[in-house]
Order: sequence, then C-alpha cells, then structure tokens
Amino acid sequence: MTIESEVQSLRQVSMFRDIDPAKLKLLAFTSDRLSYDKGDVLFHQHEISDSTYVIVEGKVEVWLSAGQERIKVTELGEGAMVGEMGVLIDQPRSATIVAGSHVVALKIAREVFFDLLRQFPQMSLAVMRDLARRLDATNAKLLAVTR
Amino acid sequence: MAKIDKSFFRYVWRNSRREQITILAVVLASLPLYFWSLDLPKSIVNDAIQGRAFKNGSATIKAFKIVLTLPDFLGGQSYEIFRGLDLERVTYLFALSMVFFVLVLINGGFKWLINLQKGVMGERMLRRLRFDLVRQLTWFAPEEIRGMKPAEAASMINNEVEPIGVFIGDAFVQPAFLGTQALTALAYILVQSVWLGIAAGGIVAVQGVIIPILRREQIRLGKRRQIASRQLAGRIGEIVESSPAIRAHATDLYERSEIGSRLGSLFFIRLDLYNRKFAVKFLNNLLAQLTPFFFYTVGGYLALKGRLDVGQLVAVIAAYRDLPPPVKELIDWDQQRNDVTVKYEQIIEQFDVDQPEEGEDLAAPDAIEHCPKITVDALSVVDPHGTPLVENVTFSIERPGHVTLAGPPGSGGEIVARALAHQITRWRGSIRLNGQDISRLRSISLATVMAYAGPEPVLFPSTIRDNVVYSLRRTPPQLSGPPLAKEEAKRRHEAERSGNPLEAPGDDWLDFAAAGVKDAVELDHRILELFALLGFDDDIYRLGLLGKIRAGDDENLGRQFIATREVIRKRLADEGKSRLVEPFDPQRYNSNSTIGENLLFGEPVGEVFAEHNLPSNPYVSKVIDADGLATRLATIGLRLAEMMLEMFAGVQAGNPLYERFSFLAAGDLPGFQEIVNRSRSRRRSETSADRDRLISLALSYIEPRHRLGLLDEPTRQAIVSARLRLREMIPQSLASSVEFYDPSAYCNAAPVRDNLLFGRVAYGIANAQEQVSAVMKSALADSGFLNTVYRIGLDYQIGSHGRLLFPRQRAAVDLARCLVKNPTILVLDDALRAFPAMEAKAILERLSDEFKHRLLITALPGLDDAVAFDLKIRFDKGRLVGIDKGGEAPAPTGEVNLSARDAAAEKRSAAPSQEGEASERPKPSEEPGQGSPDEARDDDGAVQRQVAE
Repeated sequence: MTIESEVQSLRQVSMFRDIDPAKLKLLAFTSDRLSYDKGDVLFHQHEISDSTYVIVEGKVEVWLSAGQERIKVTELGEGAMVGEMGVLIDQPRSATIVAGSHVVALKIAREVFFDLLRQFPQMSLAVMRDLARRLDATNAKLLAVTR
Repeated sequence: MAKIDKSFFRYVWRNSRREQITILAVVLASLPLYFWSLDLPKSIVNDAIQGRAFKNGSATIKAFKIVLTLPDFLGGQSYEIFRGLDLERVTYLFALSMVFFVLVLINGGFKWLINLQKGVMGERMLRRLRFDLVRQLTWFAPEEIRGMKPAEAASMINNEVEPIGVFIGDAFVQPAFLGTQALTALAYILVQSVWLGIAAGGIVAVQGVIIPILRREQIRLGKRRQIASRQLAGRIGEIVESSPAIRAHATDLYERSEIGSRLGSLFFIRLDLYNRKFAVKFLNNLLAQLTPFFFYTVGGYLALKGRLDVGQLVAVIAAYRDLPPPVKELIDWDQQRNDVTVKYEQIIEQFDVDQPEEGEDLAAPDAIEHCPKITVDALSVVDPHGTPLVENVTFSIERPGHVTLAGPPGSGGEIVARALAHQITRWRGSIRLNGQDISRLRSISLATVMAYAGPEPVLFPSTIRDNVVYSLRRTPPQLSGPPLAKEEAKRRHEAERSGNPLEAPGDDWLDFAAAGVKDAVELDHRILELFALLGFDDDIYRLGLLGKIRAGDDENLGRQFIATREVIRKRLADEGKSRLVEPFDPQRYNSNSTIGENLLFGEPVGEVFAEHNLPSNPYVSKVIDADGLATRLATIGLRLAEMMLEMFAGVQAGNPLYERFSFLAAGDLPGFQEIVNRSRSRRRSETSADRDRLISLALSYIEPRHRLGLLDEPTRQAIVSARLRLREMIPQSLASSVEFYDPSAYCNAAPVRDNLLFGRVAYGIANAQEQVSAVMKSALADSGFLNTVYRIGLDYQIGSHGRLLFPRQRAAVDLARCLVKNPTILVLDDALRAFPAMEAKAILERLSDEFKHRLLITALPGLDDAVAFDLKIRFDKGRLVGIDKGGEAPAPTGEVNLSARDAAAEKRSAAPSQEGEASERPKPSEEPGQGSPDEARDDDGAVQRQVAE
C-alpha cells in the first residue's frame, strides 16, 4: 500500500492516463489517502467544495436530494474522480457521495489541485479533455431526450 | 486634577515644596560649621604652629573655654559654660587638628544627607511627572491621539524625562547649597583681606559671565539633538511596524539609507557639541589655575609686608580651594536649568491637553436600562481635510431592538455609529441619550451602558481571559484597611507622595457584578457562554487542548488526567474506534508518529532535543551510531531525497506545493542533489555533515502519511531499542532538556491533548480526527473535565496585538469584551468583517436575539438585509435617505451582500467571483455556520456518525 500502487490507480483515471508517472507520483504524494467504511459519507450536497477525490478501491454512490426526497443517481467505481467540478467553478457540492463498500480514496485539496494544474499544463489539458468529453456526452443525452 | 504646569520651576515647587524646604533648612544649618572649618586653619597656623597663643611665656593655655556674655542691655554679665582645658602647645596643635578633622566629617555628613534627600525627591518627582504625562495622554480626544507616533510618545515619557527628573532634585537645593557655600567662602576671604577678596570675586565673576555666553550655542545644539534623536526613535518604530511592507517591496536599502542619513546629521550635531564643550572646559581650567597664581604673588607680597599674617594666607588659600568648584557647578546647574526647562517645555507642549470636563453622570441609568432613547439632531462630521463624512443627519431611536444603519460602505452609517459610541468627538449637531448630551457624559457613565466594537479589535499581549475581562476593570477596587503589611504601607506611602494612585493593578479590579456573576469561576463560565454565542467555543476548546499546564506537579490533577485518558480509551474501544488512535507504548514503534518522535519518545524542553537538532546532538549521535541505526536512517534520508528530487523536478521554486508537502525547501534541492550525486559515485566521500542532513530528513518521515515504503521492521526495532538506550543513559546535564513519555505520569511539556490521548490519531482513516475529537469531548464532559479544558483555553496567550489568533478569533475576543459587561446599548461598526459571510449572519442573528430588550445598533456593510431589524436608517453619500420601520418595510431577505462586504474589507483577499451573490453560497436557510470550512468538517463528522449508527 505505497504510493506506487496509488500511481497505478491514478493511471486508470481517464483524465490522468497520459500523464508522466513522476507527476502522478507527486499527485499521489500531495493527496491524502483515506479509507471509508460502507455507508460513510465522502461529502454532502451543498457543502463547500474544498477537495476532489479519486476512488482507488471500492465503489461509491452518488445521491441527490431535493426537498425531502433522496435519489440515488449512479454508482462510480475504481478510477473515478468525484467533486472536481465544484472545485473548478467554486460551487458547493452538487451531490452527496456515500461509500457503497469499503472505499479507499485519494483526497486532493482544492489548492493543491489548482497548484498542480497551474504547474503542469498537460494536467490542465487532461482535465479540459475530460470535461469536454462529459459535455459531449451530456449533449448526446440531451439530443436523445429532445428527439 | 490640574494639568501639568507649563513652567518647570512652578511645577517642581508646587509638588515638592515641603521636601525642598526641609532640605534648604539642612543646608542653612550646615553653614556655621562650614564657616568654622574655614577659620580653623588660621588658628592652627597662627596659634598652634607659630605659637602666638603662647606668646606671654606660659606653657599651657586654657583652650576651648566657652563663655556666654549677655549683651549690655541685659546686664552684660558673663557666664562660664565650659571652663576649658589646660593644654600644652603640641597637645593644642593636635587638639585643633582633631577638631578640624571632626568638622570635615560633619560637613561630609551634611553633604551626604543633602544629596540623599535630593536624590529621593528627584525620583519621586520623576515618578509624578511620568505619571502625569501618561494621565494627560489618556485625556486626548481620539482624533488627536491618532496623530501621535507611539514610539515618540514612549521615548518622551520614558527617556527624555529622565534627565529632568535628575535635575528636579537639584532645582532649588543646588543653587542654595552651592551658592551659600561659595558666598561663605568669599565672605571669609573678604574678612581676611579685602584685596584678595576682590581678586577672587573678580575671577569668579569672569567665570560666571563669559562661560554661560559660550554655552548658549551649546544649548541650542542640544535642543536640535533632542529633536533629531526623537525623530530617529519615531522612524525606528515605523520601521518595526512597517516591516511587512519593507519586505514585500524590498525597500530595506532605501530604509537603511534614510536611517543612515539621520544618524549622520545626528553625528554632526554631536560633533559641534563636543567642540563647544571642550572649549568651555579649557577656559574653565585656565581660570581655576590662574587664581592660585594671584594668591601666591599678591597674598605672599601682603604677608611679607606684614599686612596679612601667614595663618590668614593659608586659610585664604584653603578657602579659595573651595570656591571654584561650587561656582563651576553653579554654572553647570544654570546650563542644566536652561536645558531642562527647554526640554520640559517641549515635552509639556506635546502633551498640552486640557482635562476633559468632569462630565455628568447618567441621570437615570435605570431608565436607559428599560427604555434606551437616542436622539440625533443635525449631526455633521468632517474629516481632518474638511471633507464632509456625514451631513445634517437627524433621527431618533425610541425603543429597544435592532437598529441598522444601512448603506454601501462609506455612505455614513459607520461614522454615525462611531459618533454614537463617542469614538469620534468632533462633530456638529447633538446626540442625546435619554435627553442627556452624550459629549457631556462622564466616560465611565457612557462605558457602563454602552459598548462599541469596531473593525480593528484592540487587543493586549496577554491571555484571552484578560482581554475579555478588560472591560470590567473600570472602577478601582476598595483599598484594604489597616493593619497593612510593611511593604504595602511603604508602597502606598510612596504612591501618595508622588501623586500616583494607591490601588495596584494586581488588586481585584474585576467588577463581577457588572458581568452578573459572583466570582472568577462563574465569570469564566459566562465568558464561555459568550464565546458559544459568537461561535468561538470550539476554538477555545481546541486552544485548551493545545495548552500546556503543569498538571504533573499536582499529583491529584495529574492522576485525574490519566484517569480521563483511560475513560477516552475505553470509550473508543466501546464504540469500535480503537483503531483511530495508536497509543504510545515504550516498547513499540508508533507508526503514526515521525521517526524523530519515536526516537526521542518524549517532549523536548527547549531547543536541545528539538527534532531538527537531534542529528547534530553529540549524545544522540553516539546512541544511534552504536548499532548502525544512524546508517539505516541516513539510507532512509537518501531515498527520501531521491524521491523528492524525482517528484519535484520541474516544480518551480516558490510553488506552495513545496511548503505544504516537501521535506525540503526549494532552495535545498540543489544541495541535496549534490549529496545524492556524491553517495551514488561510491567514492565514500560522504561527510558527516551530509549524513546529519540526511538523518534530519529521515526524522520527519511518517510511513502511513507519506506512504513511500521506506521503513522496515528491523529499522523499527532498532529505533525502539535506541529509544530505550537514549533514556537509560542520558547524562545528568541533559536530563532536564527532555521529558520522556511515561504511561503512568502526566507530561508537563506536552500539550493537554497529547496527555489525554497519549497516542497519535491514525492517518488514512476518513474523519479520524473529528471522530476522536467527538469521543474525547464526550469523555471529558462526563468526567467533568471539559470545563477545565475550556478554562485552559482561556489562558491562551494571544501575543502582541493578538497576532497568535486568526482575525475572526480576534474579533470574537473583542465582541466578548463588549458583551461581558452587559451593556444596554451595543454598537457594532463593521465588527463582523473578519467572519465568513454565513457565520457573520448567524452571529448577528444571535446577537439581535440577545439584545431584543436592549438596543443593538449595527453598521455592518453587506449585512444590511441579513437579519430582521426594528428600525433601518438608510444612508447614502453621507446623507440620511430614509427610515424604515421593521413592520412596514419589506422583510429582510436574509441575504448577505458579499460585494458590499468585500468592498468594506479592503484588507481581505478578493472574493471568489465578482457576482458573488449569496445565492452562490450555501442556502442561508441551512444550519448556521455551514459557510465556514471548519464547521462544515465538524458537520461531516456528525453525519458520519449518524449514518454509521
């Protein structure tokens, strides 16, 4: 359970696939490795976005609440990144993330995330690419719905 | 209390008349004996040595016969009081000499007595003068005192006054003492020989006239020097205060050159002074040497001619020896007088302020308590440049509740708030509190009913508690009656003689009644209640846990702490959370501590065993060298350095990542690169300095936190066994520099928290800190220890200007200070700017509730619409533009106007976004405090627990 194994996990994140291993090591080193039991909450909807998480082990559930209702939107597994959107645009958390099993995650503090993006253009590019890909996917869904 | 006299001598005379007169009486009493001591040499030479008393052939004479002869109009009889002694010539000589010797002793004694009295009086007057100056300092209006430089005022009261104090002792006594002595000597010479008297008098006159003229220039230079050095002190003070700006703009060279040129001009003034001083000295010496020349020639001539006998000549020369020193000292005195009066006048001018009028007491404090009414009529305030800040503002507040002075920053509400609280005193128009003009109220009357918190809290370098209860130190305590301890009686006597207050600050000044409590313990509870209101109680708890107390010295308290430690441990076990804390065990490696902490297994006292000093400490290196541990650690350090170099390659120096994560600063990287290169080249050129640096690197490594896989089991074992040796073999001389952990004892050197946990919270488990904190807090509450921890938190030293606290903590301390005295009216002038928006709103809500039946007046930019109000007075560009009543106006939206807040708080860093409206933030309807990152985390912990259950 050293940094080397975490680097392996990070490489599975689509965003980081093309990034130099030494830089991924730095990313792992500058983040906190945290373990959660099933049912533990990574963060709550509406909280301040102070960090992003990369799931290294296990799976998490994404919950949305509106008024009294709570709906489980989706599940994410190893290699998923959560919470980065809120950090990027300085918005509160848009969903609640709950550990769906035993979970190990890397927590990257907001400032560190920005420092890394600033320092390494290829990391910024990777984030941009990922966001563009998601936007594209959303557009596709929208199109499917409106049709 | 009158203000200080402008005339130096009047001030001195008025305040030390009795002492001066006493000393003058002693001076007069000393004169007859002095005269006799001048005359005695004549008798010794003429009667004893030359034998004139034995001229008629008798072998003995009646010496020291004392006969009292009444004047003729009383009958003219003579009474023999002492029959005298029959003495031979030699015996007579010895007797006279003995008398002379005794007279010398007595005169010396008089001098000693006079000097002592002078000194004591001078010190008393100095004390009085300094006290009076400080008192006048407190009389200045707030507008005036802002223009004064603190360092200059301090320099004046502290240093410049010093020579004045010394001179005060001399002010009257010195001329009287020296003058009468000189006159006596001169009179004696005149009696002996008119010619010699005239010569001596002439030379003294020359001395007295010419030298002061020469010295006039010296005085002028002295004045210039005083002003220049005071400005220098002011500049040095400025440099200290502006050091962040100097650093930020790298203007140190400029500042230094400025100081350099000031020192230069000071030097030239002093040089001129020296030139003058030695010229005067030369002249003085010349005149002093010239007179004996006259006496030997003219006096000798007169003696040869028989117009003067030898005894007289000897006595005249002896008397003359006594003449120049007093004259010289008199001239010195005169110069000092000039100097000191100028200095005195200059200082007094700086402190020229009239005592504020005594002022009225509140006519009906109870009425204000029940129904505070404020009437503002045509209020106008201008700034020092004449720009109007508010113009012609008229409104009245008729009933209790929350009054908000609304408007964008700079629109005038804050100025009105300051005027209401009498923080501004120069205004036109009137402000009345229940009918009384507040500018005529006694300040203590106003302070009792009103509290004011401004944007910049004024805090003192003391504990949090001291800072809060400051507002309760208004009225002097009752002085204890007799009998007094000897020391105390002496202290009070001296205080009285120099016009100082009799109460000491150590006496109990705290007005418990004003705080609504009985004693210090209740007061602490009250303070904690207030801090809870201000959302500061968790901080206090945390500061308490970080506090260090000497519980180990108190067996009982120490035992209680250790018992609590067991309770916490058991509770963690009961809740299945034991894995969250790894306890300290003398026999086991603690993987959540650094290698250095594991090695020392104790708390360093002072610097000797501080982690960064361990590798170079000869004793430690001897211990770790013994079984090759040093080599293992150096290897870890080397691997660490290699990894850092690999990971941080390409990260620019100055990137905050270094500060946060790297074991080394950016500047150290090249040095470590060299060390790594050297060790790779296998040329065994590794120096001991290299090794110390590598070990030092290794000592801060924590495996579960840094996860670099550098520690193996044998190394852990080696560290534990080195730890045991380190403790066993420690030399006596080092034993006091470390307090080793002992599971059965309280460690004084370690913070309370470490003593309660006696272990480290594990890394890598989500929310471990929060969970442990919660368990610890509930265990403390159950064992009745929570309050102890809070009270330790109140003992936290906040540093100069409260620099050891965060801005919001400083603001909370200031607000608590306002609240603790239970004011009827609370004025907040941008006092919540240090809090995050949501927290500010929550605090304001709670305060508004607290002051439902009192009066809360707020001028808080950005929070105008945050909470409900009873009266809203709207300002724009210094004018009142509207008044809304709570019921009529649209209900407050509960929104926090972030841009207004940011505009108001120039000092705070820019808001995240321009359009930063409240809608972006967590919804205001959420739990208060969610806006703050700290509390969000706490909440996390709470929810975490709920879900787990």
